[in-house]
Amino acid sequence: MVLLVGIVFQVVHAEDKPSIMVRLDREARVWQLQAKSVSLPAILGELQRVSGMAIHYSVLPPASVTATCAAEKLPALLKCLLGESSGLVFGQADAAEPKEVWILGSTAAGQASDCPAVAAAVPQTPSTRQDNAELYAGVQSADPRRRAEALYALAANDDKEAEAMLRDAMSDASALVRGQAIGGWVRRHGAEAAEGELQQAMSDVDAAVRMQAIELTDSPDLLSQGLHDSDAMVRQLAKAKLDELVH
Amino acid sequence: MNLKHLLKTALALAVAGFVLPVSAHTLSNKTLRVGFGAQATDVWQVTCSNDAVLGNSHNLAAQILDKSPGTNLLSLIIVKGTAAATTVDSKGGDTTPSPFVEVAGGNGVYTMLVNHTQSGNKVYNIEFHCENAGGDHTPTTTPTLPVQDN
Repeated sequence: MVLLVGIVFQVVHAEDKPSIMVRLDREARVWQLQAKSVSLPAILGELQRVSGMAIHYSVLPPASVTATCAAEKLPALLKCLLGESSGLVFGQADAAEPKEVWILGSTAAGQASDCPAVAAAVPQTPSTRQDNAELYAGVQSADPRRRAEALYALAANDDKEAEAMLRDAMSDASALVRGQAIGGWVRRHGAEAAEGELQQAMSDVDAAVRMQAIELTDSPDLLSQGLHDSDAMVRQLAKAKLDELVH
Repeated sequence: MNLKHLLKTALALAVAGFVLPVSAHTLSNKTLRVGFGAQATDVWQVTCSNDAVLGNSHNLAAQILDKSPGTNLLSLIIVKGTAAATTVDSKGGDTTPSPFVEVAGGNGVYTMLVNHTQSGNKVYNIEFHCENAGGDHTPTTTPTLPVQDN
């Protein structure tokens, strides 16, 4: 019993020691990161060493960090570590993972998080020509549901034609299509970069489009706008999301 | 129980405690929209993976909370390969979610489908986590956007 307690005591003390683990689970194709009471530069240094992705930054919060993160792609892993509102700019992608990233921040702004957030350009996996042809055909369909679903799927493509189709669809006659167009735009660019489009969607005549805008945004301004919407469901969703932000 | 086994167990327990406990993952304030009718279905994908200390994931467990009152019932189906499980929130608009269900598919990508029994707008939360065979939480990805968004 004394030996057992001794071992537990020693390992408990070991638990107090700072530690970092970054690895890629090749079977599940998932990045894993565990850190206990270490500085962010140390964590980022280990992430850079293991992943080969160059990480650039000037200003980071000084406090030590404890985190457990898992993600299929490096951008999502960084978002887990640094927070969804962190400003990240990714460089050229190599085999669907970025080669480098800039973490935005400035001492002139007081805190790193005060800098305007920039959409994280998550690299997209290109679709096959056949997939694209089917999606483009779907976007032209007379059936609004088929148009809507094709648009959302098309948002994952990295070609400029998909970009233009999404933009055009935001003024489609069908509210279903307009809603999916804004959803696809956010899927492609991120909610922060799509704030203008989300703001526009908040003026849509159809409550379902406004509800989708509320679902997609984390902007306190847009959510506050939703509190005064004419539709009860939009108001309910806006309140629920604002409550979540506060807590 | 001999001393060797006792030591191994103690070490395993202590080492397991070294891993920070991972709380359940949550998708909150997501919607099904009336424009997609009764067939509206959201599709989410979650990846369960191996943990250096806790070992392989054994299953994904999940439950759904219907935040919209009414008779339109909301259900969640977990699918991996040829295995699936369904859970239904029998009363929308309260704070009681559906029961947890799980699908044992090991490491890899699980699909979660959300659907309802009638056309209408719905707001929901999903709580989910991957577990090893012993019930410890293993690495779980949280999707930022659904694969299909209805």
